[in-house]
Amino acid sequence: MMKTTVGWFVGLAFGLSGQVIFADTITGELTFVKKASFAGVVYMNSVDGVAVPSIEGASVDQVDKMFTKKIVVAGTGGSVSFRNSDSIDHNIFSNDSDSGVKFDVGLMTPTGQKSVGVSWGENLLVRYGCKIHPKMKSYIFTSPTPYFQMLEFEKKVPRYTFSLEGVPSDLTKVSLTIPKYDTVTIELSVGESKQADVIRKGKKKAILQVSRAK
Amino acid sequence: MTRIFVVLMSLLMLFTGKVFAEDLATPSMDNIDYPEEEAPSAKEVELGKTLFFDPRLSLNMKQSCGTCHNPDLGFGDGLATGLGTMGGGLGRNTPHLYNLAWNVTFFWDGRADSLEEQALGPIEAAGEMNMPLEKLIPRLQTVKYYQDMFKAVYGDGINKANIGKAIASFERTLNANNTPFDKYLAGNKTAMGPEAIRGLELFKGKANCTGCHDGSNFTDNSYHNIGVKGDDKGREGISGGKDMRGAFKTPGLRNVIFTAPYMHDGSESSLESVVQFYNRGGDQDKNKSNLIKKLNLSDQEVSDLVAFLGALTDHIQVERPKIP
Repeated sequence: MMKTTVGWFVGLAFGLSGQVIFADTITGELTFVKKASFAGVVYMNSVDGVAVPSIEGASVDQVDKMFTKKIVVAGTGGSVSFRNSDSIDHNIFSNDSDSGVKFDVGLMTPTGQKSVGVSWGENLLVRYGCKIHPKMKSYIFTSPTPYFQMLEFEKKVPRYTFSLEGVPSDLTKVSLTIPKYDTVTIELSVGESKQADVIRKGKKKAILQVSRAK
Repeated sequence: MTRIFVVLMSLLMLFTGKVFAEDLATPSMDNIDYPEEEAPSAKEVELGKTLFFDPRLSLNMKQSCGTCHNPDLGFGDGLATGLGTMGGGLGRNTPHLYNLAWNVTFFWDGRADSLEEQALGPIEAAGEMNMPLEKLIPRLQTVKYYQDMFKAVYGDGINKANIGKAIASFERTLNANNTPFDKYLAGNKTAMGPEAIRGLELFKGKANCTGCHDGSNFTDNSYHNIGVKGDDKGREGISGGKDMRGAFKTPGLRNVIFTAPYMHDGSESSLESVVQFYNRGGDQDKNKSNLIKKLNLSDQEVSDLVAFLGALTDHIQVERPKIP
């Protein structure tokens, strides 16, 4: 079983009025039926009228002809910074037909740094790669809230756990997104545990279990 | 501190021409990124194989995929540059099909992002099989075998996407992963002779072949201008960057002994002449990659490298199917 790093930790959340809202913890487990996919994100959906902090600090490096992250989460209107710690040139770009997003940061020489503005909408998974090294791939996900956890999968590891902490009680819908899979969304109240199948092209590929506690 | 390290690494690369290289290894079937995340069924592979060898896929029914990608000629045609079904010449050497299951871009210039897309390209290309898919589909629909098989495998019958899927599924089975080199890696130290063992060390060391031919399939999946004469734009024609002018995709080297002639234009007739090409640092310097430098290999070292390339051989026997 693999546990990945929690993307954000927010102890308390603040509503529009500025008053403190007691926060919950979402925990869960994702179990693939056969081989695991590449990467995914578990995240809380936004609710009109509930303000949430913005997402900052999305960054990815390039080392040994690989991106250091399989997936990175950014907020719409924010940015993702890229670094080249390799001893060779790279050229990060996206021409992703699924999301419709295109960008090209240009040639990045060794030690180079560039960033791309996230001008596209929320809830989009954008595949990007390197023009020079087509084997390199990674994804940017635009999460609607800063309550998320990135999941990096290994083909032979079927089970993954996650934990979102400090989730405002007003945010009740938790989603899982994986490239090429149907997004799964579960409504969850405190004390509840639920389960859903994760589907790709009509076939059950994994089972998602989530629980919510104070 | 990190910045100092990276700068030092860059300087090291500048002076030595060395870049990070993936370890040479035996390709793992677990690492194949199947489009459906699982291996195709035997039925899908059989369908793809039948299509691959069926001349119905060319307009004048003179060529199948297997005409140019002939399994008896290393899934090539033995020619410097290919021939189309109407008799016209093509500008580039016919690429081999070994171990494409692990590949990420296709054609010499990488213009296809999937094996499915690649499989359809030559069928439709006017200079190659010259068969518009809107004509091919009704032609296949007249054959009961295809009607039944497409329905059984995909449910929605014969269409463009399913033709590509079927051929790609067959091509993903053409895997050479039990070569003398693989046996040597697995611990059988007599699987390769002393010449090939010396060649392996040269491959990774003095000759710097792993600068491009690295990983389990001996390709970095990238593009390089290696100094072959000619005015073919190569990758530049797809990506548009002048830094890619004359750059072509690094071919995998498994079963390379069967795939002569070599280079994107078929200009080198033997493995020895390929190694000699690199030994002299290529034939022209314009836009040439800084990885390509004179190697000062002795005749013995050239022979050792050729011996190592010969140890990447795992013959794949393909029985041609009965065409329905």
